[in-house]
Amino acid sequence: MAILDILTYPDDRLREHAEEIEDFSDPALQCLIDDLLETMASLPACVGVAAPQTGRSLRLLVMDCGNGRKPPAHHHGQLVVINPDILHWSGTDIGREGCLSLPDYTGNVVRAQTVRVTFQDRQGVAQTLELTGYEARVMQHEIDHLDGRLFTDRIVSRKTDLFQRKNRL
Amino acid sequence: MVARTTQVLFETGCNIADSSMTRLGGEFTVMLILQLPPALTPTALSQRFQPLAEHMELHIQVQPLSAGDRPTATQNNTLQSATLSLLGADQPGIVYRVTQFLADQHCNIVDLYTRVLGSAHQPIYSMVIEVEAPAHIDLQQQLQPGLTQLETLLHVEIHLRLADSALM
Repeated sequence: MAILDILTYPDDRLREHAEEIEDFSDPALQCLIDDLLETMASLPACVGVAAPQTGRSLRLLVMDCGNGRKPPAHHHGQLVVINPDILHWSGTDIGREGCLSLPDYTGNVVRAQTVRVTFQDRQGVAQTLELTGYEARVMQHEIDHLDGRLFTDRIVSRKTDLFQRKNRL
Repeated sequence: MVARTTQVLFETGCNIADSSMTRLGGEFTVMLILQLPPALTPTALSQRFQPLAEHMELHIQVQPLSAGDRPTATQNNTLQSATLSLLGADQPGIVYRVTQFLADQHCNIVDLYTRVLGSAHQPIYSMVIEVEAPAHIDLQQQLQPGLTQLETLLHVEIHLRLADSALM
């Protein structure tokens, strides 16, 4: 296991569309999943890391809302999410997001309040989950990374929605 | 105006660090923090702007800053930030009452933005304030009761968002 380096903007690799994962028996994949989990756990208040943030252009992310400073009352704990697809979304909500790959900024981003997501777990087994609130936000943020998007792409107004961090990470 | 101004800066070798440019009413305002090349003094820069200022009727002020004047790298772990947004019918005293309350609570305003929206008959006042406060204060707990009182007093909606976002 290893703690991986996080790419930061403007690294071009953050803008790539990540590849689907097909071979779940590949030891390198299982090792990468463990590394992503360890990386997430090593960073204070980190609730998610996507593989492209570490320079691996794969449709893989890990998340755990329990790692946040104020965890939501209900969440699914640690998730390993591979080849995700959002099947359904409803409602909208504005919330503040911070990103490991944009360490100097936070921003107000509009996201769906509830999403139903299908994905494969680390064994390749298909899963479907309905996520709401903050957990739904994290999932959407991480899936954006798989599509080469950063939260700043969704900022409506730089003046009212983008903020410089007071506490550098 | 922006192109002509920044052309002078480009030609004199100035580097634009932070900037804020906006139109207020019929006036356009520009504030810039500049890094000057060693050979260029603030006075000389001011003189370089004279022809443009006369041609476009601009008021230009150049003021030297010491290194300590610029709060750069946001490496201060003793501060937290929050955003306060207000929306409601326009009336006298909104800015004063809200900012006085924030000052009383030891919150430092680092950015304030107001716009009058809606129609001339039914103006809606919109204000967004970014504040800094000591990190040890529970801002939500400290500010919310007073903000709720202000909502009632001013007939406006006020939302407080803490900037303490998790990382993804």
